[in-house]
Amino acid sequence: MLALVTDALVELAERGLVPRDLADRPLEASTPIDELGLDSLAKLNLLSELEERADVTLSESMLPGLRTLGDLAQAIARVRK
Amino acid sequence: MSVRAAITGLGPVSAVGSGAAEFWRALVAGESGTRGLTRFEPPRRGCAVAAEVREPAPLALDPASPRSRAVQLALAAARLALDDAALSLDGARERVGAIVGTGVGNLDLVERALADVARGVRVHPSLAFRAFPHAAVCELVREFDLRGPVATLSTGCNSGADAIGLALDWIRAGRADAVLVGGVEAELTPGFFALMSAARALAVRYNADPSRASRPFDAERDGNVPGEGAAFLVVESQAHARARGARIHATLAGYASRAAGTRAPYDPFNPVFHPEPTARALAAALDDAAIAPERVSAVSANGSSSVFYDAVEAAALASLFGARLAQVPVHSIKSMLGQTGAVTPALQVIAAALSIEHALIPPTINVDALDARCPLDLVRGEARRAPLEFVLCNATGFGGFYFSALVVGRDEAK
Repeated sequence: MLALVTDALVELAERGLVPRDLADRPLEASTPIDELGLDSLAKLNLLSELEERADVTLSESMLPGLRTLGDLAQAIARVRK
Repeated sequence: MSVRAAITGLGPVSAVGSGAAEFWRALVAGESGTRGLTRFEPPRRGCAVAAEVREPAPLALDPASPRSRAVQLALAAARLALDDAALSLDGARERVGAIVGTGVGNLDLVERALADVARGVRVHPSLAFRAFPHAAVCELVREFDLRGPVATLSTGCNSGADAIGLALDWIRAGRADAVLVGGVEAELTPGFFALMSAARALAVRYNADPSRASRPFDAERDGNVPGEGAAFLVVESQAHARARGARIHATLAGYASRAAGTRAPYDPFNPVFHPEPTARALAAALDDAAIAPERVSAVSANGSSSVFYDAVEAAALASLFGARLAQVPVHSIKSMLGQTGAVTPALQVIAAALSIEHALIPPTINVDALDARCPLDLVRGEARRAPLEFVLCNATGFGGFYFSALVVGRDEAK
């Protein structure tokens, strides 16, 4: 599931919807979401992209407290079950 | 002593019933108006629950009408309010104003028109008049031959509160003797659901159990349940109401709105709570009513089942009431009515007026476990009997840019 998250970030970076340098940075499970340089709209863009790719709904109540890309990947995996 | 206006007419059109008597019966009984969405196919993976106004009785809503659904709802609610007030317009039409609050206006017509334009179909010329946000007030003017001041306010979910606040200002300033004022929202459209789903504002976890989807302050709440409806009131100067022998349900004692100013943008992963603007609006409304927080007998909460804003509201109430927080009964009609945008504040005022009249606070339904961040004396389960002097009604607009509040009080002659 981590690949789904990082692939989404790289594609959004290439389209200019999140900082372009994310396409060239190492993105790992331990990478903090807060260090990606995303503003609030970019975060919503990322969530929308992930929902499309994983065919899941990530509700508002699930998101507070997610710190890293790994946390995000696990949250998606949980709702995909 | 602050000047109050008399509330003499109540016209709710809602998912739990229309007309003051049926609306009140359903609220006190704790009946849910949220059901599976029937109007159109819900968005894939999105919210499939809505508080739809049931048809046909007692309203003659016509899907084939050239009028928007909002206009039809507004006309029905306005007629109920005027009938309830037994207000004769003859002889003083220039002294009766009309104010409509609406968030999305005539979105159904706009969406249909855009679809027609995209298909190359000619749109009807009357759409130019029917699609603008002020169409509802124009139709009220025509229907009831109104000739006084009119206004349309669009301030998101606060619109109904701000419209009622403006009506109070008009009465205090002597611009009108009576004002037909309320909110209307016909937001159950594919476009609206797409927008609000993208903004992650809607509940998605209760599609299989729709009557339990709107759960303000509950630990398992998960977002707003959209609703539709209209609610109008007749608000008059007390002198005018008494001179014509009108029944005064309650009084409108105070109003305020406050903006949030510059603040950190919303972060879904790390939401930051800023209760201060809400608290300022609530305190300013009490100031406008010239009463201290100690005199508030109950709070009609914004309580929209939003994961974020319910907690913000609870924190704002804590800062307003301090140690007394646990002694102030709070309820949310949105637990039964969903989030009906601009209509909700007007329905809150109607419910507050009826609460004061009946000395009864309707329950908040679907609260199985109170969110620990919301340590309120929430009226749950059954309606609670209590003598009420003032009810403080809170309204939060989508996006958290600004906040409004109204104070409803007992008839001063009682």
